[in-house]
Amino acid sequence: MRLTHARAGGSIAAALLSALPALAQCPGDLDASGFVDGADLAVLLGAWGCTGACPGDLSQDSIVDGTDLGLMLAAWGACPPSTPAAEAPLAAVALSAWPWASWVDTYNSNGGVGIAIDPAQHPDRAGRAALLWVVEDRSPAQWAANSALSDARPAGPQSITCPTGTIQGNIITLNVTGLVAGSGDAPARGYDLVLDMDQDGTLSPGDLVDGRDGGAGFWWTRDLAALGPYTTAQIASHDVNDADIIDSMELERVYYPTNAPGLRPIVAISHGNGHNYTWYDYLGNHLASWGFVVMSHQNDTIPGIASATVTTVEHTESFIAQHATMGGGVLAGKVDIDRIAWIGHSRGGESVTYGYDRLFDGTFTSPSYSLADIKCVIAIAPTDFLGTASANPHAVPYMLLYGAADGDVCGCPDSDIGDSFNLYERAVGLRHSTYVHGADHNDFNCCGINDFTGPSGTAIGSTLAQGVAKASILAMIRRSMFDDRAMEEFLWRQNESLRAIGQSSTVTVVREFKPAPGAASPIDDFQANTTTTVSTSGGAVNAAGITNLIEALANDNNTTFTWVTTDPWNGSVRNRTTDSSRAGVFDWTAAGSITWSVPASLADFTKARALSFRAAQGTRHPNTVAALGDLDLTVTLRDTNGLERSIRIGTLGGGIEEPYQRSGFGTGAVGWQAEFETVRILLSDLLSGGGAFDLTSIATVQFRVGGTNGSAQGRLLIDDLILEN
Amino acid sequence: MTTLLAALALAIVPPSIPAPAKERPAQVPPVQVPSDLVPVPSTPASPIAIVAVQPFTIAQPYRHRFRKDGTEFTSGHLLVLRAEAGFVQPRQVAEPVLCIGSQTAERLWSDPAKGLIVAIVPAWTERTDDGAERAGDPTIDLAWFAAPELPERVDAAWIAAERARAEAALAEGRLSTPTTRDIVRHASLTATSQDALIARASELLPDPAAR
Repeated sequence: MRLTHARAGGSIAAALLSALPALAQCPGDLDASGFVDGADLAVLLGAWGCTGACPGDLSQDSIVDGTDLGLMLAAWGACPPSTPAAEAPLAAVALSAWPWASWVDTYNSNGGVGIAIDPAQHPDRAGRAALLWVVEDRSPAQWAANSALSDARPAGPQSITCPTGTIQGNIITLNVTGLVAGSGDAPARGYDLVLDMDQDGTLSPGDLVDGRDGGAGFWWTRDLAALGPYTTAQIASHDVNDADIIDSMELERVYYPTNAPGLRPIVAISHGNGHNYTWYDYLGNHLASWGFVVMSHQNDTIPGIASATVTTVEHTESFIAQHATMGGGVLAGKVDIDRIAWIGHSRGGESVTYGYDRLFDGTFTSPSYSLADIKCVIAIAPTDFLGTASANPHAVPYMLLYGAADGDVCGCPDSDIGDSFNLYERAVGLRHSTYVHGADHNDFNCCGINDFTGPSGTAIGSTLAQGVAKASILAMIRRSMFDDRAMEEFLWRQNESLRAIGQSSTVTVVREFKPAPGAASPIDDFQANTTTTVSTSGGAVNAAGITNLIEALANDNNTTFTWVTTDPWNGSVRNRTTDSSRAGVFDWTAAGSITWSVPASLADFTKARALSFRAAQGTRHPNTVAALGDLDLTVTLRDTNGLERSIRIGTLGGGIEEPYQRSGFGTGAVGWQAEFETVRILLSDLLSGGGAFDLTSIATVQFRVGGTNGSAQGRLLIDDLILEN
Repeated sequence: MTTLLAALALAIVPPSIPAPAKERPAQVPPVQVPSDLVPVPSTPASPIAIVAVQPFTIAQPYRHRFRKDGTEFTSGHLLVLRAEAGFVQPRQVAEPVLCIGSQTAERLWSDPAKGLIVAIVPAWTERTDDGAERAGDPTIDLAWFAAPELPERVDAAWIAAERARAEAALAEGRLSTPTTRDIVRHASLTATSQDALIARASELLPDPAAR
């Protein structure tokens, strides 16, 4: 069997996808039930005398006869445990509907960890006693060198009985008492899980292990919105006195950890117009407490973006050049000048983006740092004065943080300048957006004017908005700078499913995440093969029962948010006419579907960890307005044998978010800009409940809408249907 | 004990994702709260008043970042203007460009609460009716807010076009001139450096805390 991919199913798939491996491990278990019993005997007798390739030919002599019956009777009863110890996802959260569990990896330390041992996938373990071990995360090499188990909990391994029946309602709660979250700078600490079937205290044949083959079995995570492990201090104001920066813009404020070991990465903050470099204490102190040296500088925003960009890139250079002596030398020998993150707000958000573009284009070079040193760029509600060619993040890991109640950079349809998502759409590397309902422009600093513009009663204020900002920015920087996979789930899981401990549950947050191109295989991202009948990957696309399907540049083409049929991309203020981010859109009022045929080159889904796409409800479309709420649909995979697995996306945490109910730029119905939201379906989840579904040979991916498939009606913008590796 | 109970409570509750909320029918749109950030007023428009003026010369040439050509200057005027809040409140999207004569002004500080702007206007010249040249004077020449744009992107042609628009509005009575009734005229300043010039400008703002 070739199913050795990490976590996507691994041995689970091996146990389910075909009866052959089960037979190899348990001769006579013709139905892969984990037992050699009457059902198997019935199969064998039904094939009695059959010649050639027959079920029940255990001896493989091309005839079903007494020899095979003898082999079956010799193996009668429960199968022996699978061998050797198998990698299998165990840590999971419970879902309210099929697949009843989602084998995610990241867990907040104020909650719990579920252990989902699907009886259908592990029939030979069902009903048996076992010890559940939580082991400090080990690499594959460490596991190979040391199979002895050592539990990280004071109480030691947990005695459990593997559930029988179905996984529904049978998720075991891991005893997390005494489990330590976080590790130094890292907000999350990794643990591997071992289901020790023979209870011998070693990882041995028949055991299940989650986390041996790479990564951790689960990540136990501190509060990303709370201060980190280090104490912090501040250089309140430092004058760089740099000839390349005008005299009135030379001040910096620096936040740093006082007790962090080693070299600390740099985070530079560029404020917006009319803002002040002293307005980001909340972010500076937060990131410093997690081990970063943060420099917030005066930003020359009034003349424009080019002038602000000069201050961004020159302050970064000055800080690197001067850090060893500033503040009496407190940073000497403590700064990692090869790891830099840029954060910019509003015009500053555009200036950090243009700064990266200038490094990319070579129109700015520095003796102190280069393009490769910029590990990520984070723009908070950036403007888009410069447009496609210059306000362009290229392939740098890019994050957009944006408030839906922004009264300044508003996402309005009458001008591209205030459309922050334009910049996000241009990013071609790993990218993430955090869109916060009820947050306004100046909620992300301390002291700007109250620009809240939105429905009464929805304003969340700066404390809650900054809680979201602290958590999501920390997650993004760590993911980009350190490849910290524990943080990734904070960037893509639905906010209803995972959010920082200190982040209010009352705040609606909409997340997008897309991996770097090398980690994704598009089935259809609408960028190539630009008809509605052929996908990017070359497969046929068939629509049935839906209406108004088109694909094109996803650009609101007029100056109002009022729905009109001549503006099918209403609300998608995410492109200029010179941009190139295409998408699809359709609507429905009855049951319907879109079906993507999967080309053979992509058909083996076991090579991927997840199937994902992004979608947004159509702004102020009658179908959106008629049923306010998160929009639900069903995603169905069909294998080449015609077997299907279907999942309602609402099960994963709410579906596609209801548009923020903000008025303006039109009459009648309300609703603001298109809120694309990523839905990521872990392929391991689709194996829940067992059966012969074949992930190695997927024929189609289908979106089913209307009727019993989800929301009765809707209008949906869709994009980036991809396999994530 | 409390900690133990909390731990036990955690131990018996597996993590789960709640079922999605049900959709609701369309309803009366919620009442909307407008922003405190006032909309950009239409242009051309005039400042309300010129509050203070001080001619200066500067020993070190100063590059004018508030227009595309970025020429250097060694003389001009410091100005304090009073204007409608919509012109004073900083914003991220394009702001009306403050123009004086054939020049753009550099905005140093704004005090939205008082409606005040402190600006530097590089020297320029005006042609008189008889064809002669004279030095521009911000207290008598046209001062107005031109169309919203980034100052670093405007050039002489743009300023000339906006000035023509403003002069037409003035001729049609749609644009007034700022009052100079209460103007404070400071003696000419000789600044040694940009820092010194800016330091002096800050003193012109009635409330230095607003800088």
